[in-house]
Formats: sequence, structure tokens, C-alpha cells
Amino acid sequence: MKETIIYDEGYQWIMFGRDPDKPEGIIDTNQFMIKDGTRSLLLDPGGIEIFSSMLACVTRHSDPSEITDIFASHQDPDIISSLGLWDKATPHAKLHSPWIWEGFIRHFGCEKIQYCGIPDEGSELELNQARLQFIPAHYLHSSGNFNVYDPKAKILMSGDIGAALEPHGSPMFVEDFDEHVQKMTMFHQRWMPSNRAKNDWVQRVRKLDIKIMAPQHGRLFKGADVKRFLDWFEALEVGTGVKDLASSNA
Amino acid sequence: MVHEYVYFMNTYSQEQAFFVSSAVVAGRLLTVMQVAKEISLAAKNAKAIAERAGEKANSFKPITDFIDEMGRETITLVEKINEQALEVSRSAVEELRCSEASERFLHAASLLGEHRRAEVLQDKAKEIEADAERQKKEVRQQARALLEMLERIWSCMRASGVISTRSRVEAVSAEEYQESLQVVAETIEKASERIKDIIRDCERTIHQNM
Repeated sequence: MKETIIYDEGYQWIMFGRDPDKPEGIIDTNQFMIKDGTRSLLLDPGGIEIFSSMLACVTRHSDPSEITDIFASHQDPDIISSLGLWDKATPHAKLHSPWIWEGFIRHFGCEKIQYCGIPDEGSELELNQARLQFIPAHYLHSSGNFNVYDPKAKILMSGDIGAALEPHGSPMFVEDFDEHVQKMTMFHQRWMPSNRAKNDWVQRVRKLDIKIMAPQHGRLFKGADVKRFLDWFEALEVGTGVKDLASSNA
Repeated sequence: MVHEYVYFMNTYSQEQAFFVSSAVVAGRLLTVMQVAKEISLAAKNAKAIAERAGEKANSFKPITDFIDEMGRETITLVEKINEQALEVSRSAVEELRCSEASERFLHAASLLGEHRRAEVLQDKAKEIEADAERQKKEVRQQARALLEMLERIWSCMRASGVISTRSRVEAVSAEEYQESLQVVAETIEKASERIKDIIRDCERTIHQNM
């Protein structure tokens, strides 16, 4: 699994992805880790199938006992179906995830890890130096959904927002935004259900100072591409599955 | 159906199959429960006939009480066995989860190669494997207890064979109620044979995984 350090000033943001050992037929995912001294946070640590690769990557940076916190943006299997295994690796960790998904996520196995439900309006998490904000992103695409914003590193981990479906081994960062749009359009139109929720999120996120926007699939956006993304997303009509259905019935 | 089941079982290793086979046993016991209820119903029916027959079926009355008691005991036993079978299945699932987790930890350690923390993951894998071993022993213990409980039902059903023979004999002296009481005896006989078949099948299923 490829590792990229995307921030390294007092603490680190590390991205793991593009796993060559990943079984065929499962969507490629980006996992993140914030290593902050004796405390580390895993963000959307992924599914069961990539657990071994992830554990090996994470262990290169930190002893498993120092993984004190895990964040799951929502309940999907590619986000957190490995929870039952992390429960054995990091039994003292806390899982921060939308409160509405607790009863669902526990189905993945959560005997020892403590589930800390994030309220709908969001909340904050302090590691050592890192002070993180859980930013509401409900209905994008999950009905209970959060992003993680780090005001010091100016990184927004945006979950499925900004995701792209790409062939294996694609670069880590968007290089040509206009060319990248075609890889994102269907994903956002079909997976995101609500224009209202989308516009609400865009307004909220425009107020943040973001250098890197890091989605859970595909490439990361940096610099001016973050604003380009927000403009593109604001103009995009989402929830097209219903419309497509209506036109095929006509 | 049997072929499908055999194929299904063959796709699992012995340890893995336990969580399936014990759940299958729990499912099959629901049928035993239904049949035991039929026995209880037959006992109540026999009681009513014996009441109507009065003195002609005097010797039949204690038998009906016995049948009723046997039916109720079977139901109680099946409830307990069902809980036990599900307990075996749960423990077997936990064993499987521990074994799988241990394998994944070892794989992660091998990916780390010479890294100093590879040992941390190997130790963790050993710890989890020890949990799996403990769980495995517990599964075996629980499975043995399950077999003992199934044996008790088997004994009950063996007794019912004697009862149905006795019922047929007593029915002969019940004159015009003879036919009704014969039907009751036959129902009990068939029901207990069916239960014996299922129990035998359940025992075989568990033994295959022991």
C-alpha cells in the first residue's frame, strides 16, 4: 500500500492507498492517519479486505497501542467494516462516528473499542497538538456523515465528497481539474441524494481555509483546485437516480 | 437439499463448520419442538377420550398423564438444547473471528518484514490465537454438553416406544373407544420415531465436527 505524508509540521497527516494487493472487484480507498506524538487517529480505516495492509502501514509509524482514536465518516463497509479487527488491535481506542449509526456500525464488531457518537451539529477532537473539527456533511452521501477539518494543517478529509472512480495506480493529486471532472460526475450525481444538503455543505466549507481536500476515493485536491471543486459541485445537480428512473419509465 | 447442505459444509474447514452445524442443529430442533407439541396434543386428546370412556379406559388414564409429561419434558429439553446449540454457534463464530484476526495480524507482520514492530504484531497474533484456542476448547465442551442433552431426548423417545406399545394393549379393552385410542398410540409412535430420526441426524452432524 502506498504511503504519502501530506502534512508534517509538529504532527503528521499520512495517506495510505493504491493498494496493489487489494482483491479485485472492491473499490480502491484512501485511508488517513494523523500521528501526533503518543496519540494517533485513523480516519476511515477501510474494509476487512485491506486490514492487513493497513495494519502493517500503520505499525510502521506507530505502535498499535498508540492508536487512541478512530474516525468513521459514516457506516459504509469500505469505511469501517474492519472495525471488528481493529477492536482486537486497538482495544483501548475510541471510535468517533455519527451518533445515528452506532447500532448499525456495532454489527461490524465493537466489543472493546468505545463508540463516541458525534452529534449532528459536529464536535471537536484534540489529540496532542492537533485540534480537529468534525464538520457535518449529512446526506453526502450518507444520512449521518462527517468530514474532518484540521485548521492548522488546513486539510479537509472530505469522505466521499470529491471522490472519483479511477483505474488502479492513479496519481495522488489532481493534476488537471477539467480532465478530472469526468471521473467524478457520475459518482456525485448518483451517490449524493440531496441538492439542498450539497449546497448547505458548500456554504459551510467555503468558510474554511483549505489547502488540501482529501476524499476517500481517488485523488486529492490542493490549492486552487479546492475552490474549483466547490464551484463545480455547487453547480452540479445531484440525486439523478430518481430522474433517470422517471425518464426510463416514460 | 441434503446435497446442498453437504456441499455447503465441505466448503468450510472443520473449525469453521461448527458455527454452521450447531446453528443447523438449532434450526432442526424447531421441528422437534413442533412434533413434541403434537405429542402433547395427542396426550390431551387421549385424556379426553379416556374421560369419556370412563371405566372402560381406566388403565389408559395413567398412560395419558405419562405421555403428557413426556411431551412437556421434551419441549423443555428442546428449549434448553436450542439455547445450547446457539451458544455453541456463537462460541464457534468467536473462535473463527479470532483465528481469522490472528491470520491477518500475521500477514501484516510479514508485510512489515524486518521492521522492529513486526514482533509487536506477531505477539498480538499469538495472543489472539491463544484466545482462539480457549474458544475452541469451550466450543468442544459446549458441543459435548449438547450431545448429552440430545441423548436425554433420545431416552425420552425410547420410553415413548414402550408407552405406545402399552397404549395399544390397553386400547383393546376400551371397547368402542379402541379405535380412537389406537390412533393416539399410533400418533405418539410416529412422532417419537420422527424425533428420534432428527436427533440421530443432529448427533451425526455434531460428531462430524468433533
